[in-house]
Amino acid sequence: MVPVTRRTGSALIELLVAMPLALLLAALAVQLFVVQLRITHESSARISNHAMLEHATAMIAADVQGAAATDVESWTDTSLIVRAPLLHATVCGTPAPRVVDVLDADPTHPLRSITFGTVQAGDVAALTLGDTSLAGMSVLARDTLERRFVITDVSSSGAACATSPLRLHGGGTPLRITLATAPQEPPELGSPLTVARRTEWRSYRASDGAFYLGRHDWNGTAWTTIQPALGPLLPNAQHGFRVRVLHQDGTPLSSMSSNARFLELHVRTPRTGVAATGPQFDSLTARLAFRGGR
Amino acid sequence: MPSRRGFSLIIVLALMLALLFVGASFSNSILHATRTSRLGWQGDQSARSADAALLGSLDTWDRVSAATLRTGETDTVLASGDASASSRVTRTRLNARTFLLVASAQQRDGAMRRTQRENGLVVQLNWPTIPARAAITTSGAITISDSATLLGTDAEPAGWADECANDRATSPTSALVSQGAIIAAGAIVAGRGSGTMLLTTSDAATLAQEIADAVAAVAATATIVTADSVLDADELVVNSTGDACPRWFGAARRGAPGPDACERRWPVVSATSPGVTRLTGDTPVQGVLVVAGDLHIDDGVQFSGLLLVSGAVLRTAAPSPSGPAGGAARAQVVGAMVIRDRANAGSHLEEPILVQASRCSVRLALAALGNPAPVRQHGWSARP
Repeated sequence: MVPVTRRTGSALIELLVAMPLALLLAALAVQLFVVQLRITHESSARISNHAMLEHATAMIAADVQGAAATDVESWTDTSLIVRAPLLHATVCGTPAPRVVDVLDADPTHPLRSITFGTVQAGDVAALTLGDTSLAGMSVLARDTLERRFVITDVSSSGAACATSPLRLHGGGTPLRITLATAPQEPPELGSPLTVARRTEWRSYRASDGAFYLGRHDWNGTAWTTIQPALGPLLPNAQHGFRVRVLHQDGTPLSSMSSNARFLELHVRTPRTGVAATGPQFDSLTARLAFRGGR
Repeated sequence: MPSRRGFSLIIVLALMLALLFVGASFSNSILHATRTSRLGWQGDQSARSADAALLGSLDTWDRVSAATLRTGETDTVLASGDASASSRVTRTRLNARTFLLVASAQQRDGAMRRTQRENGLVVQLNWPTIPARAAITTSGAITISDSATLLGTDAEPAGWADECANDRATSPTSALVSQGAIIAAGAIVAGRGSGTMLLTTSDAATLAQEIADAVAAVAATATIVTADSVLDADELVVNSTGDACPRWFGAARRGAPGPDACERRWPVVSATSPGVTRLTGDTPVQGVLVVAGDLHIDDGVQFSGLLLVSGAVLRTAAPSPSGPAGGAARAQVVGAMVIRDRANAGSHLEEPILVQASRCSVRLALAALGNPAPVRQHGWSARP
């Protein structure tokens, strides 16, 4: 007869103990994961919001950068019309009093033109005029040498650049710009030329009912369709986008004056997926100094 | 014996799997966030590095090396970094006074990822205001003989066409601006208007002060200071690279058999001798010469650039027996001559001399003492 051994089963007890512990651990892990996901989501949203705000501010700054106060045509609380740069180029020839040739946009060389759009009649060219003295004027007078001219024609035939010592750096076809009037002195060869265009930034309400920060420019006869650059913003009433022109001491100006020194931009975007308490929006304020005062 | 099916393993495995999934998701989320933030940080760091390199190149601007560049040429002014980060600034000369600086900075994250940013800046050289209003500008009086020629129409020295392409004057300047002038009938004085512009006493006093300021400012930044009273253009000296160049100035004859390095030298020489400083020798030379006393220009001198004189300028027979024994070899100055005539002794151009206004040679010479100042942001571009 085979003796029957008593088999005391501990697996069930162990399992009964282990399972709640495991479930507890799993619940803790899931809870941690959910919290982490929420924090990550909120952080990402905030980072993304700030990146958008910085990007939009940088875009406006690029339009305002290098602008003098005279380049600001008008502004309201929620809009700004400024002459924004469209082309930065180097003058390589002046074949006629009203004609300026500039190096092309060959992307492989540092002397290339940098373009943000196609230059057209009606745009404004800012030129550094040559000084007639033998030794050059004081650098302090440099800004006074810059003059603006309306462009009447643009073509890709800057033949004068072929004889320029800068020609080695122009791989493509130079640009020929014809001005409405002849400068008193021709621009210095090798000097920078900037072409600017009327550009408006404003907060507008789109078809979805939300507010966006949009940009469009003047094509010579009308404003082009506004394109969103940032959004959605808080509504105008909640200062989704605010523009101010400031005096040197920081006080806001109601109209352009010789004391205008800074442009202040304030942008607010709503936060999504956050608790009801705490700030419900992200914001950024940028203060840009006008070139050369006025 | 009843069969006993174990289900605990399955439960444990399922729980382990769930934990594994949660852990993997957790890790993936962290890795993604880390990578995104690192790339963003690297991009920012590249942009800041490019900006810093640009400012650094302005801060460490080498006037001498800047002057050696010819219009259209590019050099590297700053290069630094290692396997993980690097920056580089190139400089292209656009004309005698204007340069384009382009800074490029890179951040590398292993072999696969890198961020690069470029930033450009146009700079103009800021040099002391030089009251060069004509080929010869003097706040004193001047006597000009039949054998002198003063031309206000802009022209560069022979062989300088490419170098001067972006720096020619578009309209003539005066040939002579002075307080008083005695001009012989046979002398040629041609330029804007009648070629000569006479100053009132008060204008002359103002000009004298401007010249004094210019002399002080230029002398303060001179690359060569000497008390020698004779500066011989023919005297050679072997420099650190083994080239035999004129001791005092740069070589002005382009395409000559001499070393190219000599033609790219633009020294600023300050002659501090209180008496007469003689410029002698017939080797064509270039640069800026500031003279504390009077300047005597000997026969055959060929100078391109700027002469800035506190005393008077004398183009007379050799002042001492050691000099050339008279002769009619015409001296030539292409650029500008600015004379204060501190002692009101009057300048004398009695022997043959040509003084030719040249905006290009003056500006090229002045570049050796200019400090860069930004003109405007040229724009930027980012490469992924």
